[in-house]
Amino acid sequence: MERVVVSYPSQLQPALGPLDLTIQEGECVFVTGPNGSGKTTLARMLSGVIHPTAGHVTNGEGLDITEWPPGYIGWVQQNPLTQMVGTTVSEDVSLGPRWLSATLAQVVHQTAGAIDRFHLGPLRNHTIHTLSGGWQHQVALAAVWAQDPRVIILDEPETMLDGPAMQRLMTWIQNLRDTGTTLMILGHNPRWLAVADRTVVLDHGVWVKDSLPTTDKDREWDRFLTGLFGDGYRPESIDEVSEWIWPGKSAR
Amino acid sequence: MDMAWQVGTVTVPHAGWQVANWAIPGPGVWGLSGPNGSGKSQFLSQLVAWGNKSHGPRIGLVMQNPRLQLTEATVWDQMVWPFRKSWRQNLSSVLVAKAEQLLVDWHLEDYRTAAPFELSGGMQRRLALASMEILSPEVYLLDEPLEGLDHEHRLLLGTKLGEWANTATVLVASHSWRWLLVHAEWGWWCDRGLSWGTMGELWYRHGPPPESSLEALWRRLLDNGAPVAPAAWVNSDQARSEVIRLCKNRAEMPFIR
Repeated sequence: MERVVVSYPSQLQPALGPLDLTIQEGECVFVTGPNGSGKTTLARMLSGVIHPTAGHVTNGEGLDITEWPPGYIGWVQQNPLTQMVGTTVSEDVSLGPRWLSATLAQVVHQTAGAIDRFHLGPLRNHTIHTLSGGWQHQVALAAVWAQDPRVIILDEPETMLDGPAMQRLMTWIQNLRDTGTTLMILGHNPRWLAVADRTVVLDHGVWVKDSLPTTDKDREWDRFLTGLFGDGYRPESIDEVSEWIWPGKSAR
Repeated sequence: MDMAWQVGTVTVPHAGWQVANWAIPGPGVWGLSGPNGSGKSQFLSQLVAWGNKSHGPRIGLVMQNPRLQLTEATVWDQMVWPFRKSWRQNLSSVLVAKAEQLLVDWHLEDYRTAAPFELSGGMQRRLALASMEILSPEVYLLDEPLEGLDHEHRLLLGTKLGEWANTATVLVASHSWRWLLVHAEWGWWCDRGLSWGTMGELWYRHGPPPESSLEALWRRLLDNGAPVAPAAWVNSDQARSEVIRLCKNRAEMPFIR
């Protein structure tokens, strides 16, 4: 992205940019920033829903964003209902493959794989609008997976997911990383700091910080240990701390 | 628990369960969690339906998807439309001041003339919360209220919950155990019915695998019968206090501060 600006007609200030940002193929980037900082606008622009007002977006092969092939980008939106057009779960998940695949066998294979991956089999024939928000979100994830895009944008992907669904999402993301899919995760949840290669911070539509991979999920753990032991002692494992606190009873 | 309103039998059709003799508790923050598809949102909808039919308490619902309840042309109109009997009617100065203040509280004062559908997801959530708050509900039903909110506004919502809970019942449905444990002491687990308990007990029984070391340690201690408060892991200072209380009679604590 070179000097990219996105403006909405009704707003005086650009919603995004000017933004210069390079994302490597196969990279996983976490894009965060306060509400209204332009994260979803960035996703809308990259997925082709809106065009940049100024600047250029090109991929690694030098193709301008307007020339990217269909299905190049898969975008799971914050609100899953806004991207659903099928009546039933299987119909919605199959729409991408039906549009992009050459043969019926491919359509069946891709659709069945996506439905299995997200444990949607029992809901296959359910009407989407009767599903809970969490299951709708999983249908959206499956529908994007079924298209097999080169780049996947996940906008607040943890939205409304329960524990098991969250684990499935994390496994899927790890698989995508293993297969070299480029990932952009948008949101506020610090869990993505540990997942991503890089964190980009936006504020008022402008890239303000490109931080190194870091994790803060165990900040509380460090505070806890420091509160108990000061700086002089660091147990090596949770087992060790458990044994120290509740001796002789820490066996699982 | 004080019961404020007797609802009776609540039937949740799509999830296929019902609960008998259910009552809305008195003022406070109450948690509600459960698997996807267990009927949490339907349950909240049924409470709204009951409120309309029974002429019971004023119920304010903020839906999982706030866009569905943002109907007006501008942010300001969204705030005040319930108080307008006609478009020409002047609003009272008290009401105008209250609406202005709520826009400031929720950091929306610069978007007064913006169209709600043009706002970001987090701003839409805040607008839905503000436009419910102006109605001064006696019962707040918040369905996944954290979704879309950044850290600053999650803290703000926590502060608001504390204020609302002085006089109103606030029922919060969420998958975020950490957040529920901070804000609600008691609540329900929703899975083919409702089971009642402290949020700490419910987390221990139904929570997902630990995501942090402190949560993992706490689960291990509870698994082995240590008498620690189940919810203390959400705050490192509370967790430390619990450990010190547990260990206070022991002599061999060479490292403890």
